[in-house]
Amino acid sequence: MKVTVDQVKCVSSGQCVLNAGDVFDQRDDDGVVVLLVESPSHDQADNARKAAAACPALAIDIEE
Amino acid sequence: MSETLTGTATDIPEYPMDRDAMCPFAPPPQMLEMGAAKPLSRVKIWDGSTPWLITGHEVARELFADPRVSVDDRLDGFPHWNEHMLSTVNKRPRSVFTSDAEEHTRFRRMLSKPFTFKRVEGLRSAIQEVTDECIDAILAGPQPADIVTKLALPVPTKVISEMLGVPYEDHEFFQHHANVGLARYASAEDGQKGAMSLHKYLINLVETKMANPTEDAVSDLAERVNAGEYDYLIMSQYTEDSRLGENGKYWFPIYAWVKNDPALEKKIEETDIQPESDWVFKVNGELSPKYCPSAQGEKEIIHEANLEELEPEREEPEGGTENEGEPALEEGEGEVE
Repeated sequence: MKVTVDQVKCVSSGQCVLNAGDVFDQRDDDGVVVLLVESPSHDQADNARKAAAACPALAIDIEE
Repeated sequence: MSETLTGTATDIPEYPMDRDAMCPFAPPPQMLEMGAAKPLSRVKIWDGSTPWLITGHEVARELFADPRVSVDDRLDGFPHWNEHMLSTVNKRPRSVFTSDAEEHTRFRRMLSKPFTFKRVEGLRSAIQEVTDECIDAILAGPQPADIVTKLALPVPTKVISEMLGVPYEDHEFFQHHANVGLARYASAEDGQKGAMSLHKYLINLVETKMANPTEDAVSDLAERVNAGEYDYLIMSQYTEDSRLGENGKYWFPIYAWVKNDPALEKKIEETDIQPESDWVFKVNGELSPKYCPSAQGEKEIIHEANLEELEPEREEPEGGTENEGEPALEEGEGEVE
């Protein structure tokens, strides 16, 4: 699995951190998404998918 | 089928519609029926105009993503919420709620710092404390108690006060002006008075936080003003209005801009403002992102709280005693006493 994020599209909703806090973080200053893990492990994959589905701005792209 | 652009006055339903008193959290039955029939319908609002009501999920998603759809309330035909909103449309500053695309993003990011997941998680113990206090007060107070006025309203109000850094003693002031601003038939005059008082209040608050910052949303903005990152100036359009007493003048603040933003600077030049010494910022009392993380925290804690302690009051069967007091759930402006 390969994850990419689009910081321009991001609306700082924090849904990614809520769903997959070990894959995503938010910048302290404006809450914009920060990708912690580009290739999530098997254990992290499900939560990463949930985060992508929950993102209201569709700013997370996942290549399986 | 009279699917013309304007329709006829008689077959277009009024909006907003009444909810079912037995099911007050569901959308109004009439709206559900309309939604089942078709995804887009005309409705009639307070000023007699007939905007579209979107009830279909697919259609809504498509329209939200279409750049031809705008939230810019200065555009002709924009369905204003009430007379006040219409009458002040060209005097109000742009905000996250009335700007599209890049401008929207810029406004949004100014205010997202206090709403990151970590900051909201950091509020967890404070939310718990507020919730416990409310429940204790219900248990200690007269029974039966109204769960809306005693729990559902004060918890978010206190938490928002804390996030903004607004003293909770002032919450009634905020609640009152927020209600006036949102009332569907609020007059232009009431709305302007409310906006004026709020703006004055906010000026003082920003000044206080600039001198003595704490960890809250207003301090975050004040800090950026102090750092020279934002310039906040009052756009003091003194507007002649005899209805407002005194010398007939009132403030119409507020404008914020980021340094080195040529488009905004040009706009400000064109409006011929006189810089004032007062500092101001834009918040308009509305800080919740679409997916509100603070609301999520509050919801979890309220749900986890020991609600079993609170025995639900059962209604007397019909034909029994006369109704004492108010119904537990009443639609309306929900003002906190």
